[in-house]
Amino acid sequence: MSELYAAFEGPRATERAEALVMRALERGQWGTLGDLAVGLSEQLARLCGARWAIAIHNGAQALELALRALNLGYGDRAVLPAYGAEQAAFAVARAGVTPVFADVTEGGGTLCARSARAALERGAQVRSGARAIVAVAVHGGVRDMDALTALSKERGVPLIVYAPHGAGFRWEGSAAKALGALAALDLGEMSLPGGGGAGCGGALVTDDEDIYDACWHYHNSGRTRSGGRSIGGHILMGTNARMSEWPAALLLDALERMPEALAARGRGLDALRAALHGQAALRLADSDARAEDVPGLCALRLVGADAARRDAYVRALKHRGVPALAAPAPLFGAPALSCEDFVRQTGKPAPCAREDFPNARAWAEQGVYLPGWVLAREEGVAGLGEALRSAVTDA
Amino acid sequence: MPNLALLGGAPVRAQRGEYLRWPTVGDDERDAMRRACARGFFGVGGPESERFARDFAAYCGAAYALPVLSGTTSLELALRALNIGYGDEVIVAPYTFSASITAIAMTGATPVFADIDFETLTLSPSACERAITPRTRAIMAVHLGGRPCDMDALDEIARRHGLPIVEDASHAHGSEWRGKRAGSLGAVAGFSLQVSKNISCGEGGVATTNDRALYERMRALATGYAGGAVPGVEARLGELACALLNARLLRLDADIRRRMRSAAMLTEAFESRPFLSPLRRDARVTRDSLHLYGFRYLPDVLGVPRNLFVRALQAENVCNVDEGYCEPIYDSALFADPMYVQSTGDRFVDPTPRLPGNERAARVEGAWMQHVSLLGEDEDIRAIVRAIDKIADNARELRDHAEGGDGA
Repeated sequence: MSELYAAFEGPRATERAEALVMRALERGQWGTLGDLAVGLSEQLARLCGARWAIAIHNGAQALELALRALNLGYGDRAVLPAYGAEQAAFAVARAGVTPVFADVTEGGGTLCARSARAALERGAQVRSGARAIVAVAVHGGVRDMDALTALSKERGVPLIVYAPHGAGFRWEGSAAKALGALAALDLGEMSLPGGGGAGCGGALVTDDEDIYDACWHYHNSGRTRSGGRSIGGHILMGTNARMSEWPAALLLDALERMPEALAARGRGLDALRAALHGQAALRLADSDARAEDVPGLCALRLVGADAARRDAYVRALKHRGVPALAAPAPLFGAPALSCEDFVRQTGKPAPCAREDFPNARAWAEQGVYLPGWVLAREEGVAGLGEALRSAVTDA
Repeated sequence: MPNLALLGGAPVRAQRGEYLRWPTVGDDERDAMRRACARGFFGVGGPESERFARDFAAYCGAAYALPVLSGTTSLELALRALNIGYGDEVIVAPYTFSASITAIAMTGATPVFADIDFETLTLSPSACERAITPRTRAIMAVHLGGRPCDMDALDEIARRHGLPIVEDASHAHGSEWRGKRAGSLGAVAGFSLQVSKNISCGEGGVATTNDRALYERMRALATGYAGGAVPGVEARLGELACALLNARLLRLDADIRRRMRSAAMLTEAFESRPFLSPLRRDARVTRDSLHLYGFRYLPDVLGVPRNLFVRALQAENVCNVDEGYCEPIYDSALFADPMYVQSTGDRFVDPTPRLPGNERAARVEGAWMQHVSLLGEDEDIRAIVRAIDKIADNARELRDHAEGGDGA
């Protein structure tokens, strides 16, 4: 059980979800592109305003496949945010690609376009420059989408949006504008409001048919879209990343309840923002008029704190019954990015070990996570706001 | 009026038997899934997963098991845990599903093909030894259809060259070599749990080993915890799939007993029919999961090509039969795929000249019945034999059909 899930006790499967599971069981179509997984893919495409979506085992695997489908591999580099992207960095490395880190925006905590540009320019000085930009919707959306999209076009480097929390977030009223060339969604645990923790699930979403074709055969053991289900035939490179019917059943149910849950979370977030107004020590992740986030989690910063004080704050919140977690450590200098396994996968350690990124460091040391569902509790967020405020004095 | 069902005659069975449907569902499976739904935790690392890992490891005679997302993933993790990657070579038989190959390529390593023994359809130990180079880092032993490779010979070669054996046991749940189960015959093993397999959960896999250090490495590499010491990417299997597996494991042994009885009946029948050749018997194969009942069809005897014979048998409604891996994998488009090239650095050890055992099995003689064909009663197996004899008795119909240009 992941630490994040263990800390955040969420809602349970509905009767509809269980009925879908039992129906799939009786039909005997438990996997290999079953009706529910295919139906989920279609619904996710609609949610994201895209032509194509493919349900995948999980989000990290979706990101690895995204890079492979874009023909990145051993010896290549990709720009990633230096905060909130550990699974992204590891998934990138699993494809043989070395992450090159860039800073995040000060208020939103997602990839900063200016810093990403600088990382691309640094990369251009080495023989193999970065061949992809990976933006991470760590807090339910990505900021700087316009600038990141423009940078991607200007440099001819595809933008991949990885959404561990924020499947279906919208930019300027359009989910399609928030996809980049290819989006890798994580649909497990807390990603879909209303989901209640499908446990695992991911998806690849794109508007580009060539990319879709590549993703398709890569996720389906090398079978092309026209190759059917036979074991022979036209086989290309690929692995088995197909989603089975069980998470598909849970996620289909979650999608049905998502609009209502999302609206409730939005109201809760507005109320919490109001409740914390004037609290200089506490700062929720910035909103952006252009963005409609999907808050799988609620992120805030204990402004000015160091990691020790932030950890004390988290303990004080837990003492008050608030399911809180410290934001993850910064990626630069992480031992896993220079260990033997990492170097075996990519050929070299991540080249940022000695660099510093002030916004990423601030989010990593001061960030606090709450599960998104606490925003939608029937009793409202007044008690939550009070707990967040009062715990500051204990930290 | 033709006699053969393929050409419009009456089939041996008017309808296909229920036992040819897979997977089967019983109260054990229903109860397991209802309980898991009621528990409400669907993520990774829960009680169902722990139970399946413990019970499947014990079933295989292995100390450790790690349920993961797919059989391909289990093999990839096994290789990565052995520190195999870009620039390395792994020896593998070409008569296998492409996942054996792509699992190697996913790590960045290069698959190097060694021929099969066409009488067993598994890796030829002598060919394996000839394929070893200074870059070889492992031998992948594919227990095709559930029949274990010649583990005595492979083990001796592996020890002499200091190489680990990775079992591709995707078909071999419960198979035994000299009384020892697949999953504990090499350094590490990967099993598929995809829906067609003898024990399945839709999509899934499981890696087994007796080596604690290897297990710990696989677990770390498959665990997406924050702050890990190694770059772990979440690859563990969720609770609903594991709940189903816990129920399926209960019926595995009974199914294997039935399949082995059916296979013995078929083998006895095949031995007296000159156009069929069962796989070579080996007393060291003490148990065979029989995911596939492999055999050789000798087309010259009846003058009927393999594809036509197989289609004719399938049409008689008595079994699920297949020509197997007809196209040698080394001739597939896989190795020209830019994604393969990008992953492995364009290294492909082309087996020139063609590997004769594999060519013979793939292009001419190899065939198999899927495991469900063996799950009927004795009378159902006798019906398969009757269908085979019916085809032999009416081979002229097929020859005429082929000469008429309809046999391709």
